[in-house]
Amino acid sequence: MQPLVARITHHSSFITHHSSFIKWIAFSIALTLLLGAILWQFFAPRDDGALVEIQRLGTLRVGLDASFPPFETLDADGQIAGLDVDIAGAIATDLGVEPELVNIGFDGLYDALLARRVDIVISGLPYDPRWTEDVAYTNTYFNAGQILVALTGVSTITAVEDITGHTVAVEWGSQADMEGRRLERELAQVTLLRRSTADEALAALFSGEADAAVVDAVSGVSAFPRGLKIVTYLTDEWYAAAVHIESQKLLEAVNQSLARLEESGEMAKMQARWLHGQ
Amino acid sequence: MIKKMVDTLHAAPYSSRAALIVACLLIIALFIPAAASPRQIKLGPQQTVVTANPKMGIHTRLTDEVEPWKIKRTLEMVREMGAPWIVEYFPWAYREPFPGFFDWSHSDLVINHADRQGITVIARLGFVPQWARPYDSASSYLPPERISDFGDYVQAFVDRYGDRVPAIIIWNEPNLALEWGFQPVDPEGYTQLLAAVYPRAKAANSNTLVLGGALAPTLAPPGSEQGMNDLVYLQRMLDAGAGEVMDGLSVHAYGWSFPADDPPHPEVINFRRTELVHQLLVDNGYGDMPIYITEGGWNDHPRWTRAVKPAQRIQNTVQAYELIESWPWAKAGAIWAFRYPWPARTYLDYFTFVTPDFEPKPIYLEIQRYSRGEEIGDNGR
Repeated sequence: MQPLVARITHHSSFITHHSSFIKWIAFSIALTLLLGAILWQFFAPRDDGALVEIQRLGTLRVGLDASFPPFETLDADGQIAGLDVDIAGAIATDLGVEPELVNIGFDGLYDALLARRVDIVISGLPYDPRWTEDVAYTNTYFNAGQILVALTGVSTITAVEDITGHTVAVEWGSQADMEGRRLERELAQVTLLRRSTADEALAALFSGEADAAVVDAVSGVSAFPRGLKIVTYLTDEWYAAAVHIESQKLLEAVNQSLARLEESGEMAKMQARWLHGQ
Repeated sequence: MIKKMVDTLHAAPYSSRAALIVACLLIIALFIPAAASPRQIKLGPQQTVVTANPKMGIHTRLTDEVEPWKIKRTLEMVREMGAPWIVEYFPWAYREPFPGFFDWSHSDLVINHADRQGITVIARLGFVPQWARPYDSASSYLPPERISDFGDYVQAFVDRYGDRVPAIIIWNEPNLALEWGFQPVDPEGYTQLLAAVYPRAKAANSNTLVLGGALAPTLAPPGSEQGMNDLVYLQRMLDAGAGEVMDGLSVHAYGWSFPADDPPHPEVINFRRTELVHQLLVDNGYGDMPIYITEGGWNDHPRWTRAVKPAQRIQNTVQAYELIESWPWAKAGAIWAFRYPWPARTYLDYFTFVTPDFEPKPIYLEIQRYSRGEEIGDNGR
């Protein structure tokens, strides 16, 4: 056993050593936090105050190309109407402002956003990773990819493999045709029936000329009430709204609004109205 | 013998051995990049294009394609589609980055591979390097005092490729301000450019055809800042003597939303506007001047206002190739565009025949059937 004096000395040394270690740790943590704070100042997403300005002016300027029914088009009265218009209205209401619809050609939508001519683009806009340095996309709200569809209650096709030995209608020359040709290569005995438009391809399905069809989801969903079911998505093309990359608080507010619309069932109702005609 | 070499090496002083090892490593280092170089893609056996329409062509976009295997694959697929002609762009700025210093490595790749696939190249020349223009000017601006420098490039290009590239296009759409250095368009000035480079090309190879730059089909009103009506511009070119300093004329023939056989009319931009261009040449005494369609076609973007349905695009394109074949004064017709190196993510992607990852679009497969003399469309399939 160590003498008492030796033990006290050892203990004291341990405390001294331990204390300097704690100080060193505390200093490191403080330094790290300081560096982090400095870096955050430089690299954190900055907010441009767009949300404050929108609420000050009482208007949300929404860029869209009103030539894409049922998402946005001109109605019989010449007013812009569609699913995106309703979404824009709901978001504006959540922000406590009025929507101002700005009709712009599809290829000019991003430029309008970057030039601050509009606050947000809601226009059946496909998510595109190449734009993410300049714009911030909201959460997605519709998948417009290519879908394999069959008749509800009649067709035994429940998976893509089930089309073996069947006839599949597609729009000649389209992305659906590309997918159809891929299925033709990968699966045995698939016969493609090519029609001039997506509507004609769906008509071939309803008339019994084809057992299934591949169409884009925008064309396909409008035929759901006539007894159509999605067997599977063959490709994805997600639609989202977009704001300027610096409009971070606006992005947050719009995402909250979209989440509320999803959770409350309002989004489903709007989609049923515009996409399914219900 | 090896043992003798090793013994000699051991007998050598330490410094000599070290120097020898360093020299060996340097030699190896020289060969490593050569072995790994993508330029080692083999040309492959000589091919020929089998086609039912020998005037079929397509505009490739290999200017920005850096990987040799992709250049080769592109040209293989063009041949397999049945197109014996391509139009390709060879920017002056890329070939002559410094005055008098020519880098032909990329153009060699394109022309060697095209040649091996049995494809004839029509070369478009333009794009002013920074050293030949004011700092803040556009690459389409050629200062008058630099025309002779451009002539140097044209002569050097024809000197190198004249035996394999039968025709060169001087400039692009000079009737648009953006293609004329954002200056007011100037048919007489463009004719002076043609007159300056024509003898330079002929000095390098008298058989090379010098084609007048294709004009943008436009109905721009008189005094427009954007450009000049193509028919008006061509008439002024011919009045300025352009007919004597070009062997042929390149033409851009876009159909927009009209079918290929939509009748020509001066107030309409459609594919058969090409016939009006030919008629203008006839009216000015140049009826024998050949026309090369170096861009044209249709777009099938689902949302672009000038687009058509994918099925219409296929039918229009086939009909356009048939029209080109039937026009005796048209020597070849290249549709825009075969493939982009990467997606444009705009309506422009819907002009292409093949995706950036070389997946053939239905239009590619249908044109391939056409070139093989097979029936296209959904009948019977």
